[in-house]
Amino acid sequence: MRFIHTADWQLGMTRHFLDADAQARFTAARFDVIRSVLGLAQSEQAEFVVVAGDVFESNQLDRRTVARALEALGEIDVPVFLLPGNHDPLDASSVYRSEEFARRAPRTVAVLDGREPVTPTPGVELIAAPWRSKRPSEDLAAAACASLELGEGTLRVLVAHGAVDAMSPDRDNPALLRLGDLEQAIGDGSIHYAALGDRHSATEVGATGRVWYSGAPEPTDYDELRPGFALVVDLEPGTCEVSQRQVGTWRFARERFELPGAAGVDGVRRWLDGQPGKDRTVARLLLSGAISVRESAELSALLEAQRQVYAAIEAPMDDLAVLPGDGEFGDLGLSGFALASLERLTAQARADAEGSDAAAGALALLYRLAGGAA
Amino acid sequence: MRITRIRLRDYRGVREREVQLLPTGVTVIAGPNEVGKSSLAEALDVLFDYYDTSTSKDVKAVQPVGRDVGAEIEADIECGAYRFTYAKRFHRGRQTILTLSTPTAETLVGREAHDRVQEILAEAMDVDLWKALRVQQGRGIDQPPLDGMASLAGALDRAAGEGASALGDAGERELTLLERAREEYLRYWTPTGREGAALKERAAALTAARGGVEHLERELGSAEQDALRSAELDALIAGQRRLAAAAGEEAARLSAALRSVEDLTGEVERLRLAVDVARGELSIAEERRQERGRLCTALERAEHRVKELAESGAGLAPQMEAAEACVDARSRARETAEADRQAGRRLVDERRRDLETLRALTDLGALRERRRRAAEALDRAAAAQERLAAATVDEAALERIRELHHSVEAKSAALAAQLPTLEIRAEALASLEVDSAARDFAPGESARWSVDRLLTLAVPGLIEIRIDPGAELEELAAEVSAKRQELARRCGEVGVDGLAGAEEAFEARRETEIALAQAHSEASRQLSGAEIAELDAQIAEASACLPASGAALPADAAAGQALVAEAEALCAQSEAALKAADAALADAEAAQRSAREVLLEHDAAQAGAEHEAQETGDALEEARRALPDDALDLAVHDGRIRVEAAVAAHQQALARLGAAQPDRVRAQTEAAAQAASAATRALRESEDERRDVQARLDVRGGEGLFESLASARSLLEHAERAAADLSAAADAARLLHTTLEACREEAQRAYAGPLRQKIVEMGRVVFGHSFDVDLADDLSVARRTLHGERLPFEQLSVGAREQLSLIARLACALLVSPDGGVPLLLDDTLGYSDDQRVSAMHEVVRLAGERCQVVILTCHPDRYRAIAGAALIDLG
Repeated sequence: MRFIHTADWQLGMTRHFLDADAQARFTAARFDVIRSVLGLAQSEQAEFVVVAGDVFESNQLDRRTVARALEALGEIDVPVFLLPGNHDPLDASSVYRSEEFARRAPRTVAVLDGREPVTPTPGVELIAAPWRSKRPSEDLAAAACASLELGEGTLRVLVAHGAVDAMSPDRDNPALLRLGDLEQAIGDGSIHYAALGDRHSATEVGATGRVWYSGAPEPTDYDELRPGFALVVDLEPGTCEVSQRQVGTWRFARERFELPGAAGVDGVRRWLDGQPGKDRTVARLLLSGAISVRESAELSALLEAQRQVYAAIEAPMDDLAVLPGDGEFGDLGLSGFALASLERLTAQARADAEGSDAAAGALALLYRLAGGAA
Repeated sequence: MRITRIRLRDYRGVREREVQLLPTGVTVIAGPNEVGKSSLAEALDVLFDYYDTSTSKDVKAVQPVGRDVGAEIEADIECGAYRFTYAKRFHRGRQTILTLSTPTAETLVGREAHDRVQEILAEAMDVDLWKALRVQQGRGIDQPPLDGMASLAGALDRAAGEGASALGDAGERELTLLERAREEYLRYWTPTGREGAALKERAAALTAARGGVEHLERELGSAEQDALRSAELDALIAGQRRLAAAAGEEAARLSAALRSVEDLTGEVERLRLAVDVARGELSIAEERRQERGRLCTALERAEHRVKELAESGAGLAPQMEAAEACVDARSRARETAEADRQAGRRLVDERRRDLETLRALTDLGALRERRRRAAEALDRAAAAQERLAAATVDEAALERIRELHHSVEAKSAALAAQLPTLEIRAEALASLEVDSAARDFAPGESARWSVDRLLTLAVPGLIEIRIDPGAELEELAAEVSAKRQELARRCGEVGVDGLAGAEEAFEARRETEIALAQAHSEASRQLSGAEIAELDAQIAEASACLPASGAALPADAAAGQALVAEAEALCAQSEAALKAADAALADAEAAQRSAREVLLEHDAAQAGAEHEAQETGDALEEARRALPDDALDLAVHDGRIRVEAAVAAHQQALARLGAAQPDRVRAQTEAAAQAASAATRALRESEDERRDVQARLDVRGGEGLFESLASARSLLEHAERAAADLSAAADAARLLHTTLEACREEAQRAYAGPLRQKIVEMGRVVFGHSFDVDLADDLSVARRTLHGERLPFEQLSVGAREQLSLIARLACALLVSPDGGVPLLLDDTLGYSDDQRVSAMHEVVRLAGERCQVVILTCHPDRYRAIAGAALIDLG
């Protein structure tokens, strides 16, 4: 029996560092990846798709977002089971209880509300642990499995959402999923696979080979290790095989640059030039060190140019000092009070005290006004 | 720069002039007006500034008047490392020759020579300063414009010392930079240092973005609170449902208890009513027994009354009979009086009718008379009408006849007057034929003829005399004849024979007309507008109305009237008698009515008393039949016993009710009902709230609050970044601007110091030790202090201004002199200064001359003679 395990679509997510145009592409990609996942199910002849929570970024979404999601879900004829997660809990404001959802949900889509086991295909049961509020006070997976008896000839897939205790630093959280209990349930045959959501990186948990986070199908941040995958799960009474399939198209790339460094601004340029898929790449440059006014101007021009093609480039300059380089202003031939001003501002910029940023800015301006070119 | 020699030829009015100038020191060039002193100064400008080919008016102006020659200027000049002779000829035979001796010997000509000199001057001298330091004739009181003079700045720079060097050495480039920095600064800040529009807009945008985020955060927080609250309400409602059910059950139990208490209360009330009923029945029995006693008494009283009335009614019948008899008698008397009165009235009527008949007969006679007279008048009128028809001579006919008659008369008279008359008198018997008619005349007989036609007289056989009256008279005679004939015809027509007849006939006609009018008038009067036939009808009608009887009528109307009066008196008497009879009868009838009323009243009273006695008796009998007197006594007795029993039963029930504590049960029931109601209400409120919350959630659900918030946060972050960028740019612009300004000010302060020091040093020579000055930013003297009094430059006297301006020039020249400096060319200065000041100025000029080239052009050589070491060139 084959099915697709995915999670954390988080439809409706916005990223503050994206401009309107890039945000539109980012949003479109998140709808497109639904089609990719369903297409994967079709091409792999999977029986169904489970989405282990956080299908939507929030319950307070524009109804158009919900409509577009359901439209994409209805395009390919594969049964899809949606689990409410911490972002879209099945509370009074739930998307799944909205009129929009009821009206538009295609017949292939079902919400795992956890009231009863669901049978997506004969011989298979989905045991769901939906979130009913944003702050559950118990291990929902354990609660869902509590009353299960041994499945007589039935394959049981637990669909749950949340952090497992083994991977969470927050041990006091009562809603943590207890890996021990999951493995116990797998061990005694109550369940045969735990399809988890919440962690955005595709991750196998524990040693059974049957507990997995699918990760998010499209990345959402720099910290994610393996985003952009969906899992193809082949489950039989005695075996479980999981393969990870790339479905995402976006990247979050982060790079540290200590300037001036060997290559200086050119190093930054080369790195930016070398990134693939720039229009779907969000880059963060961790810049530090000190550069000359001219280099600063160069860097600004470089970033300005690359921002035209990248989805976004974040380059905080807080750790980067801009100081007049050797001979940099000498070439401009300033004299008299202008030269005195230059020296005064340079001293201020180097002082590393309050006002040094303004002094650096004033130097850059002086450089520009005096005819210095980048 | 030093100018060591100047030579002019054919320049303005100067044919040939050459002066040697001291390279360092004071050269005084003296001479009277128009000798060409100022031309020397002017010639240097023309030499340096214009190509020899120039057609500038400045160049044209220097050509000698009236001579066809070119002006020549030649000068020996030392400038930095260069020494050269520079010569130009304008207007005629134009040429430029530059002969460089140092650093290398070189000769250039034409435009090349000119350009080379420009290069040398630009390289080694501050031309602007040179020109600024010149004093032109009459302009000595102006201060030199020093601000921005490169060589002055350089000199001041050096004078300010090494430390100030880097600050002061600033040229055009730096000033441009300062200007750009200021422009940049003004992009963000107002001139007074407040935030400019861009910064304000950005801050406002930031505030708006923050407001947007806060609003959406509140909204989203509210939605999340609603979701939480909804879950809480689910739990709360479940609990409240249980509570409400329990409270309902308790209320129902207590309600049943209350019902039994209320039943008991009802029983007490019922028994209390039974007591009332028993008392009521007893009361009725007692009442009936009293009523029975009253009935017996009433019967006795009624029977007594009947007896009394029977006795009193015995005498009333005879009184009644007497009254009736009186009425009968008087009634008969009245009938007699009535008959008399009617007979009287009949007599009056008869006599009045007789009188009227008499009057009618009289009227009928009068009517018949009128009819007769009218008929006669009408007959007369008819006869007159007939006559009138026959009388043909009316007024018009008479008038015509009268006119014709008079016309005939008049014309005949006129004819007679005009006709010739022939008179013949026979003296003897003679016979004549007159118009062929023989006539014989007796002797003496004469005859006369009016000759109105051709008259022929003849004595037959002898003579014939024809007398012709002429055609005119003949015509007149014919006319008279015609008129006569017409008159005769007219008269014939109306049947008269002439005018007299016509007048008679006319008179007869007029009389007939009068008679006709009178007849008509008479007929009209008699008829009074009626016709004869109408009168006939009236007569017939009146005749018909007359009584047929032949009763005797009174003799006349007066007799009739007397008879009527008599009858009327008789009738009045009978009327009075009748009235008296009526009154008597009325009295009798009133007496009868009175008697009858008394009788009737008595009868009615008696009948009433009898009836009452009868009824009372019947009632008593009926009552006794229904309930005999002894049974009535028994009923009263039984009633009393029943009342006592009912009261006892009521008391017992009251005791039972008290034991059941009804108030407590009631209070408990009410409390339970309130508790149940409160529980239900709380449940309903919770359900309402959950419904409201759900409704809010449903509404908000599709609004996309989350995305709106994310978008607003993104907007805010962008706004913050943009604001930070703008703020940083603004801070940078401000810092750069303020730094540049500050450094410039410091530099200016640094090099203004030496200039001021030099001016003070030299000024004290002239003004004494209390002298001091303040310099403005443009290095001009702003104020002078003397003897502790500070005055603005503009308020100083002309002489003092002139002296200060010259001192400022000399100070500048001294400051720049180590650098080669510029010559100080003073054209006729100190014209406003008194002798004492002038001699003090000599010392100043001499001091300047120690290191500078000073050339003074003057027409007062004595003024400068005292300058030690000065060379005097007298052009006079």
